[in-house]
Amino acid sequence: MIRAFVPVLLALTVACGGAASGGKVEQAIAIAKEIRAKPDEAEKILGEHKLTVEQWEDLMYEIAGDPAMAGQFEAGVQK
Amino acid sequence: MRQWIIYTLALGLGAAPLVAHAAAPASEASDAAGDRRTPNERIRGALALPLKAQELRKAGAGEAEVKAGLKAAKDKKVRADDAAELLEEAAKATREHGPVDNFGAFVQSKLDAGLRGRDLAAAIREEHAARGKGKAKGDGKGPPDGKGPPDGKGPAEAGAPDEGKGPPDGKGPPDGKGPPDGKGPPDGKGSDDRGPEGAAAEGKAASDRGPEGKGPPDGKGPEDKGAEGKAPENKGADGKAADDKKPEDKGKPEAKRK
Repeated sequence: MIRAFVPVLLALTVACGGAASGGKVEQAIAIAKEIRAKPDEAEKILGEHKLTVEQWEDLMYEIAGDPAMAGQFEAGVQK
Repeated sequence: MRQWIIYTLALGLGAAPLVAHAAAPASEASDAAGDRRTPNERIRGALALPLKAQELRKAGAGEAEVKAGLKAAKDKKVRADDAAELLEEAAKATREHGPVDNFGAFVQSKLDAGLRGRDLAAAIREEHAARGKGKAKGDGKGPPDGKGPPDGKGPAEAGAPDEGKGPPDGKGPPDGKGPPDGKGPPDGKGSDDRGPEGAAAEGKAASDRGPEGKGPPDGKGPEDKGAEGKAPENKGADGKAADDKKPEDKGKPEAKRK
């Protein structure tokens, strides 16, 4: 019984992880686009997304360190 | 005479603090530059970090090196906008000089040494200039001079069939370029292409350099001279090939390169 659940649990774990990182990138892309549209309001935009500058920087570090996330971010921002 | 010495010493002692004061702002400038940025600038600068990391990857830096560099910067609490500038500089240097093996460790050591901003960027440039492994992959542009492969430096590669080490632009085929017996160098790469009479006598010299100028990796440094040392053997190999093969056969690899 437990054996049957292991692959399901693994799949769920992977899926949730992927969704989490995908969600982060999506959020970052959305914010980045807003910032690019209104560069002088960058701080305000972050506030609207409930992010501090430090959290934004951490997110950028995280995305930069993962080639898949960075690629997704790059593609999303350039759209 | 003594008076001159005393004057000189006095002048030197008097000027020392001035020099120290003059030098201080220069080194502090890079540190202060980050602080002068407004939060908006900082946020916008941070936005570029993933893009610059991608740029560095595309320039040819290894994933491990990119990650190590980022980790070093983050551990040292380098702000993301500053880190983005560093990666931009590293990407430029990588395109110009090729990647370095120890990029992450290098950044770590320089950060440990207290280098930041422009000083660190300059150190990265110098490191790549000194230890970059030839031209990098680039972003599909290839070396502007169209010369040999980026990493074909060492004598070990001289005369060996070129195993996937063609130029980054993919113009040159990585395989099947050597003479049939495998003894000689891949055409256009070995030193015998530059050799005076042997290669020319076989009618190879001109074609080896090729109309697109992708022939020998000229000016690649002293290692290439090692390859020249092999020229006599290679000539022999070419000679063999010339005997064994028809001229049309020789022409085929050349045609491939186009």
